[in-house]
Amino acid sequence: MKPAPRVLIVDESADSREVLSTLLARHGATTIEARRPGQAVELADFHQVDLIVCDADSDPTDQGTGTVDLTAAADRSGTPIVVLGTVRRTKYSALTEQFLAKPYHYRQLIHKIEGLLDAA
Amino acid sequence: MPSLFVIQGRDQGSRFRLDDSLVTIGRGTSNAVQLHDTEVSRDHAELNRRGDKFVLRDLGSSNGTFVNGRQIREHELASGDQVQFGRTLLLYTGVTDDQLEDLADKVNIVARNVEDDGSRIVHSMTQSEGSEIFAPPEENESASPWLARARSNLQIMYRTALAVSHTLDIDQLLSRIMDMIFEWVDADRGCIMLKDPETDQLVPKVRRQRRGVQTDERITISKTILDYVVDHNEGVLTSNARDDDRFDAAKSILQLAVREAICVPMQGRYDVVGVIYIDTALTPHRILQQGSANKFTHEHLKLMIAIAHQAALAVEDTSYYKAMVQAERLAAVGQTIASLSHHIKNILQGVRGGSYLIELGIKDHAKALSEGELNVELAEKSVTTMRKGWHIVERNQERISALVMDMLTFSKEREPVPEPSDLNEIVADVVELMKTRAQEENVVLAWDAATTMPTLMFDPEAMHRAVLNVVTNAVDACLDRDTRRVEVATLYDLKERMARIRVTDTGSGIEKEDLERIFGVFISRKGGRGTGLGLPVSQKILQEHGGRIRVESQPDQGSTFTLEFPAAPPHAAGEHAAEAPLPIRGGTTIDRPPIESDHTPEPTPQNY
Repeated sequence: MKPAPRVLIVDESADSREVLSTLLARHGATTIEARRPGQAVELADFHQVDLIVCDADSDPTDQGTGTVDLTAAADRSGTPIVVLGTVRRTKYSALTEQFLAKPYHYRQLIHKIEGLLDAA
Repeated sequence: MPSLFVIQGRDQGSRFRLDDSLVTIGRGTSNAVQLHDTEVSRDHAELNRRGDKFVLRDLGSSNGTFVNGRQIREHELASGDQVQFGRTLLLYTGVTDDQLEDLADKVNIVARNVEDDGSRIVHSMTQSEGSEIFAPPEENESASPWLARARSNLQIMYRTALAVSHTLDIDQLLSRIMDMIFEWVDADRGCIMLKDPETDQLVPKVRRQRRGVQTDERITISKTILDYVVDHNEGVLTSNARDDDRFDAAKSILQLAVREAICVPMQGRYDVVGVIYIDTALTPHRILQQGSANKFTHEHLKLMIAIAHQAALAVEDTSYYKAMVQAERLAAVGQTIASLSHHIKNILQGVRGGSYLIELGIKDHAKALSEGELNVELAEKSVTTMRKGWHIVERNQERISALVMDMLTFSKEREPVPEPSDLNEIVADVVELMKTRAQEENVVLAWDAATTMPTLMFDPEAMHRAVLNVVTNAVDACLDRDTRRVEVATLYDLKERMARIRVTDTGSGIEKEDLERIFGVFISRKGGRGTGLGLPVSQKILQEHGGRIRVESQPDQGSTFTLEFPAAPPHAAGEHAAEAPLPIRGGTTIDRPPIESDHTPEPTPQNY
């Protein structure tokens, strides 16, 4: 039996984490949560996640270096990552990165996540 | 940081920082410096960094690129250069010269009795005494006519410089210039025209007429003369008297009058910003009297040119100042809009998420009912999903409400509406409101009400808001910490007649240099959670009550915010007596004198 996919949700908003966790649970995924991109790099590595969903606006560092590091780490491990944010920065570019502008519709986000998990 | 600052044009007031090594300039949206000017090409020019300099290169634009009025193809910019694209004029500011030594630490200001080199004040002089350098020479001094004239002209220039330096309002400035000209030059009429930055046409701004000059005649200025003055940057003296060897005073009697005029360019640092025009009419009687049809001389022309130059510099300074103020205003408005839209967007995201869960829950519920027999498990799951969604929507409703209230409170110039109120009750209500949130975040919320708190006059709604903002901040400050504790206490200082609310947290503390900044609008260290309005609003409310907020903080040790305001008891008849103590919570009223300290050691705080 295929193990349930593990998704790392990085968002400082507890509401956003709760909504996404609930939706992903309906699709049979388990979730790990982090508030900041800086915390997420180690978590992603430790839990060997299948996908990362990261809210770039939760990054308090200058120039979004936390999110840059996370996308770079995802790139190295070949883990798909969806970045949510107001402004897409060219520095985020990674082979596995997808970007969704805020405010987004959850239906659209789930659809994207499903596509990435199926492809993986 | 090098930058381009728009001093003229549609984008006036905008500042573009030159961060990158290649900066494109044009009308197109992809340009780093986008100019909304129809005379600017889509891809007009580019700036290339070479070391700490920038080289400006025109990209074959239709209307060319100009630096300090000269068209260029490629040009290394120097700080202070004026760059023009189409009708847009920008000021380039380069990298500050790091070679310049900062001598601030090589200057010692010493007390009088230390390092005394024996210097004493031998003479002092006021500003007005100093300006008497231009006073006429003493009688025993010989003074040539030239020297007297030079002294007089210098005095005029000095006074012009003084007069124009005292105002940044352009209309006032021009009016003052006109007044001075009429003081020193015996003109009948005068006007100042400035170049319109949009159309480049001269527009009259100020007109003056000497008292006693009976004429409603419009000032007619030949366009040819104006164009000559502006294009050649030369002052002219004109006369409609015949320039004829045979001209003499007798013949001029046949004319109604001779009109003379001086028209000079207002030459600023880089460009002509306008013109000054004065004229005078010589009556036949006057011509006969002075034996000449000339009133204005070359000396007058020279003087007017010099005054016009001073005036132009002052006008430019006023324009730059206006542009600077405009830039600051735009920046502030921009920051406000950006910050607000960011917060509203996050709240909207929350509402979307909650609504989506409710939608899914409704669908699940419909499915649970649709299969003939009720699917209890699915029905229960659907209700859980809907409930979850609803709580999220509700929370975000509260957030948008709080944001709007903060904005209103901050923006309104309102006097508080004081009424007899119980501070313990207000603060207890805040603690109760925060209880759920604190529990969710595993923050211990301790509440210590002052055992003696008289009824005081203050605006209960406003104070509730002020305390709520500070307590919310305190809870938020603890979220990234291992120890999460917030203590809220009220205190009544009888000796100082002050009421205090103290909020202490175990957050990461505030750096010393940030302590003043935290009360700035839209300065939030809470990332997307904070609106940046909470503390400024609280401070405003306390100030409206004649009070303030004090902050004590140590990095990594937490912070204590003390909100304090004068304890004003109600005085009206029928209201509570000023010093009557309130019942202790849950107990009976005990008549005892108020405690003369600001700390009440008991009872045990209630922990949530």
